[in-house]
Amino acid sequence: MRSRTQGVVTGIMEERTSHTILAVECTPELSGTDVMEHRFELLVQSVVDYAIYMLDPQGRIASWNSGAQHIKGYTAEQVLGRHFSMFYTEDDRARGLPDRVLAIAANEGRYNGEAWRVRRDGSRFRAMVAIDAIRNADGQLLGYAKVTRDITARWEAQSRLEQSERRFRLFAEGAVDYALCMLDHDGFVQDWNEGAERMTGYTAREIVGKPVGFLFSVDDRSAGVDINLLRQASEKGSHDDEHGYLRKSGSRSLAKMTMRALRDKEGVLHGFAFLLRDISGQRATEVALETTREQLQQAQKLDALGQLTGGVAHDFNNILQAITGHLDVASLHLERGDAGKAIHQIDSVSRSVDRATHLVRRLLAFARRQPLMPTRIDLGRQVASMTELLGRTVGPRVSIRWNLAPEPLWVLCDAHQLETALVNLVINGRDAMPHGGSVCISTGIVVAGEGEPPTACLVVEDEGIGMPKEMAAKAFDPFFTTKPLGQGTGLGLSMVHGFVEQSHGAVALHSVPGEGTRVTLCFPICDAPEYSHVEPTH
Amino acid sequence: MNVVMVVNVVMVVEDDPDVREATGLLLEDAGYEVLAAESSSQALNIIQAREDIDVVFTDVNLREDRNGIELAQEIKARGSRASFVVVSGDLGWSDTPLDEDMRFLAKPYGRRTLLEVVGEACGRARRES
Repeated sequence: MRSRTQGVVTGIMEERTSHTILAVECTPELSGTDVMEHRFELLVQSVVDYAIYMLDPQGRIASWNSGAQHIKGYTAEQVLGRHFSMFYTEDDRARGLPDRVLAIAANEGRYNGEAWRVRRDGSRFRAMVAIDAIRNADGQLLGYAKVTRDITARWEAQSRLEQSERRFRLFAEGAVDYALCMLDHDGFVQDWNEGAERMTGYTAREIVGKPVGFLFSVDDRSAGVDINLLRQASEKGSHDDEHGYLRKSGSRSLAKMTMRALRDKEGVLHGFAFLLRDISGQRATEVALETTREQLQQAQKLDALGQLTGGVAHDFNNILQAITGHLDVASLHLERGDAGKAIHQIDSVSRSVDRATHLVRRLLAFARRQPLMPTRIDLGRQVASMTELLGRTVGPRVSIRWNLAPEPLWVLCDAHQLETALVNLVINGRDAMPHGGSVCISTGIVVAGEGEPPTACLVVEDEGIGMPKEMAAKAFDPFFTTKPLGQGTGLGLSMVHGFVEQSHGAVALHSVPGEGTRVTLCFPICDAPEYSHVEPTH
Repeated sequence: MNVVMVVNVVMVVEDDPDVREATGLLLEDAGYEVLAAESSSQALNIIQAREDIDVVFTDVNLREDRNGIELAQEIKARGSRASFVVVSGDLGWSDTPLDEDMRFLAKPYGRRTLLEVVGEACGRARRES
């Protein structure tokens, strides 16, 4: 039976229970195999963390320790003589696993494995199993020593960790718009996701193990851009930057970069997480958007200009009429030798020419493409400078009432956009009153509520047809128009909205069908200029 | 040669003072008696007082309530024997259908055209009376 004992000891050794081996080795004074065996039986019986039991050559259970009872839930009486396959799951039994592992142990001397086993109460546990074949000196198979350990807790912890790692990997690889890479503490690439491949053109195989400087141009590297990123992150914990990077193809692009130092609780640096997002596209979109906005503004201005021109052309003909008339009268006087009277007429002509000149200048100033540039302006004065132009625009059926605050209202906005906005609002008012009426333009200071800062307001109000609530709600949408096809672009109010927002102000529209529409633009008040120099209005 | 001097009377309704003055001077110089009005209400007052007006020469775009065409219709409704010339710098009005005794004249017009149109209007006014 000696060999059997040795077999069990080997099995335990494999499970690294060194104290068991120690206990066996510490009994040299006991002489005789029987004593030894008895001691050993006691030892095996006392082990509770391991199921240690013997099988006969057919796989029937021949011994049972307290560990086995503890782990599997059966007493010795319940299992002795039964086949050990009773602990296997039904599936494993159906696949003939019990016989197979015994065969392996018999052929190779030992079997090691990990699998699910079933307790007496039907619950499963994860078992780490070692089976040793036990043979006598002649090599005859006496049976098997089987050691089973319940590793369910460890297995679950392990599998949670694996799942978490898998999730993280999927997450990192799925973030294709971001380049995510892990660097070691010297800045060498360790991990490289699909986003990084897409952005840079380098595959993980090509770049793992290379320094992060690989992503920067020679100039950037000699300027220490990569080193600086690592150093800043190392010092501050994290460092953000916008910088150019180099693709495999050699093309340059712009990225937002975040370098984050990875330290454990003790503060030991384990490496860096390096995150890049290409923003060249974003930049281009911003530029395109800005361009479009400016074009839209210009188109809107031309639309308003078209409206103005109609009024102005009529007026221009009036001026030409005055010139022609006075010249004809002057000719008559000269024919009769009355130069004095002729000169009087010619003076009138000069006055008319001045009027025409001024009108054209005003139109040109309005039409000229100006970059959007907020400046400090007096809202009232700016609005007042439009009096003449607006009066001509609305035509004879519509009158404009002015109600401008006497004090200056300093606001920060683009003067030309303000003019366009005002023309648009007044034209809307005119068009809402096909049978005539008046448009009221007022300026003033409004305090929205207690504690609110006062704002400078421009209000344009008509007595027109108004519009229902649903329509009013859409009034600021681009291309929304109540006017017949071809009479309006539907951009007027949307431009007004854009302009006011851009000036950090607010715009509100109040409309009652049959009564009229009121549009209120409010701008934050800014300080008056230190010296209020008087600009010529025209 | 016996010449019966018939002085034709023209009322010029025009809100632009320069145009009103120059047109008036040209017509006076051609021998018309000119009555000037700067608004439709003023024009209606004059019509009330003078039944001998042959031609009403009116701008369409008047600053006040009535436009020139409406003014002409009002004057006709009050039984005036005058014929009408409506004038505008806005060619949009040239498409507006006018009564037979109205004539449209586009601004700017020269002295020759002015006298032609007004002379012709006088002829119409006399025929009708």
